[in-house]
Amino acid sequence: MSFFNSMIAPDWKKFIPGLLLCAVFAFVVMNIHHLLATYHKADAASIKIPKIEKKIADLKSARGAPGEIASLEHQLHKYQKALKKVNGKVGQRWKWATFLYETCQFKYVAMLLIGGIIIRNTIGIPKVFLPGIGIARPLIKPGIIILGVHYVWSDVVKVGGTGLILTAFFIFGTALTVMYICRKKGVSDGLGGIMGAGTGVCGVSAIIATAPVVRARPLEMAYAIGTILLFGTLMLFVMPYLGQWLHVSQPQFGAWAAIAILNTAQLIAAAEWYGDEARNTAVLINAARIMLIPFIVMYTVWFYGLKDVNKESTGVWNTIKNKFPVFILGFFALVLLNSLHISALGGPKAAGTPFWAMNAVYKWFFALGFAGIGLSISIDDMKKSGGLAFLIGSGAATAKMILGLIAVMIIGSELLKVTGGH
Amino acid sequence: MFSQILLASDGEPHTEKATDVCLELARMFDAYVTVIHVMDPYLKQFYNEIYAQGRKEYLEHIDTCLRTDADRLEKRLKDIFEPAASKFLFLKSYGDPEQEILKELNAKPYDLLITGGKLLTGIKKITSWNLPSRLEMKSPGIPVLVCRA
Repeated sequence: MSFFNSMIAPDWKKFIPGLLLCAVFAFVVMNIHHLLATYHKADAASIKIPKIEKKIADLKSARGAPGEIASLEHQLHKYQKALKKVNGKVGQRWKWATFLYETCQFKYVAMLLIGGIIIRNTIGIPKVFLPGIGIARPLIKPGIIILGVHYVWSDVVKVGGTGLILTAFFIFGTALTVMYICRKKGVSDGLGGIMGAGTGVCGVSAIIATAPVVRARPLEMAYAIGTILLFGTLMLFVMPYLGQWLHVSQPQFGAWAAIAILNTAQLIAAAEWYGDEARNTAVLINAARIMLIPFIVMYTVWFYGLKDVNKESTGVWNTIKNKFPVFILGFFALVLLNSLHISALGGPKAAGTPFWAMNAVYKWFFALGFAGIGLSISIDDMKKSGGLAFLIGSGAATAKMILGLIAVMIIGSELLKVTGGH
Repeated sequence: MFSQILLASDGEPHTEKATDVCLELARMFDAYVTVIHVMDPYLKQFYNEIYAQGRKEYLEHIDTCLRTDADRLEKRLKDIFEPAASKFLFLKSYGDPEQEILKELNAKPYDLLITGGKLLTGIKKITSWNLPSRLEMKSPGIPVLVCRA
C-alpha cells in the first residue's frame, strides 16, 4: 500500500478541477474538429465522385489497365463512403467546412490554442483550475512516446541524424553567439546564460535547467521566460501560414519548426497543425534536440567558468543524470519494437493491433496537452518580457527563423522525410 | 494625520521614490512604518514545462533567490528607516502580492498605503491594470499613494 501511496502526489486533489476542465475542452474541440473534417471530406467527395466515375467509364471503354481501374474504384468507394456519412448527394456542397478546415487550417490544434488563449485572457481562469491546467501540459509526453510507433531505426538514423547535426549546429551556434554578445555587452552571466540556453535549445525547459546553474535572478528569469513565450507563441501562429505561403513541404516544415520555434510546446503544436508528416519529422528532430539539454548546461557552465562553484551539481555525470529527459527512452524503445516488425504488435495503420490502439489515443494526449498549453498562455506573462532579454530574444528568433528556412531548403525533403518503414 | 503607514516594496528601482516619500511622511507625522515585501513565487508555475529537467533544483533556486532578495531589502530598508523612524517593522510575506498586501491592509488599522510603480505613458495611463492600479481599486477605504518613477 505504501508503495502505491508513494507514487501518488500527496496534494493530487488540487489537480482534478483543471484536468477535468482540459478534458472537457479537449472533448468539445475534438468533436468540432471531427465534424469539420467529415463535412470537408464530403465536400471534396462531392466534387471528385463525378470526375472519377467519368475516368473509370473512359478507362473501361478504352480497355484500360485493370489495376488502374481497381485503384480508381477503391478511391470512388472511399469518396462515396465520405458522402454517405453526411447523408449527402453528389453536387451538394459544404463550402464552409472546406473554408474553415482547409483554407483557414482551423484544426483541433488551432482551436485548442486560440480558444484557450481567448478564454484565459478574457473571461479568465479561476485559481482552482490552474494547478490542473499546469499538469495537463506535460501530457504531451505520453503522446510523443506513443508516436515512436511511427518510426523505424532507419528514420532515426536518417532524419534524426540529419536533425541532430542541424540542431547541434543551431543550438550551439545560437548559444555561443548569444552568450558571447551578452558578455561583450556587459550583460550579467545569469541573463546571458539563460537566454543563450533558452534561445538555443528548448526555450523555457532549457531556462529551467540552466537558471540554477548560472544563478539567474528572478527578474532576469521573468524577462527571459516572457520573451521566449512571446516569440514561441508568435512563431506558432505565423510559421504554419508562412510555410504554406512559401510552399514549404511537410518534412521541411517539421525540421524548420524544430530549429526555429524557441519553445517546445509551441513547436510540437505548430508541426501537428501543419500535418502528420511535419509532426513526424519535428518530433524526431526534437527528440534529438532535447537530448542536448545536459550538454548545453555543461557548455554554459564551461562558458561562464562555473566549474568550481558547485561541483556536486555541475559535474559531468551529475549534469547528464539530472538534466537528461529520461522519458525519451520510452520513445526510442517503441521505435525499436516497431523496427523489429513483430507481427503480434502490428502497426499504426493495422486495425485492431496494439500499435494501432496506441496510435488511436496519442491525439487525445496531444489534445489534453494543447488544451493545457492554450489555457496557460497568459498575455500578462508575455508582457513581462522586456529589457535586454527582449532584444536578445527577437534577434535570435529572427536569425534562427531565416537561417533555419535556408538550411531546410538546401537539405530538401528527402533527407527529412520519415518513412515509418514503408 | 498618518500614524500607521504601510509601504509595499518589491525592492525594484521603481520603488525607490516610494521609499523616499514614505520616509519623509514618517518623519513629518512621526508615523509607525510597516514595510511589506511579498515574495512572489510567480516563476514556479513554469516548472511543469514539457521537457523541463532539474525541476526540484529550479524550485529551490527560486525560493533561495526570493529569500536572499528579501533579506537584502530588509537590511537596506532597516539602514534607511531605523535612524529616522524608530517605529519600523519589516514584514516578509509569501504568495500573490495583491492578495498579501490587501490581507495586511485589512488586518491592521493603517492610514495610508504607499507603493511604487512604473511611470505610465500614453494609452497605458488609462488602460493599465498593473498592481498599483489594482490596489487603488481594491483598497478597503485606505488612501493609496502610488509613487511612479
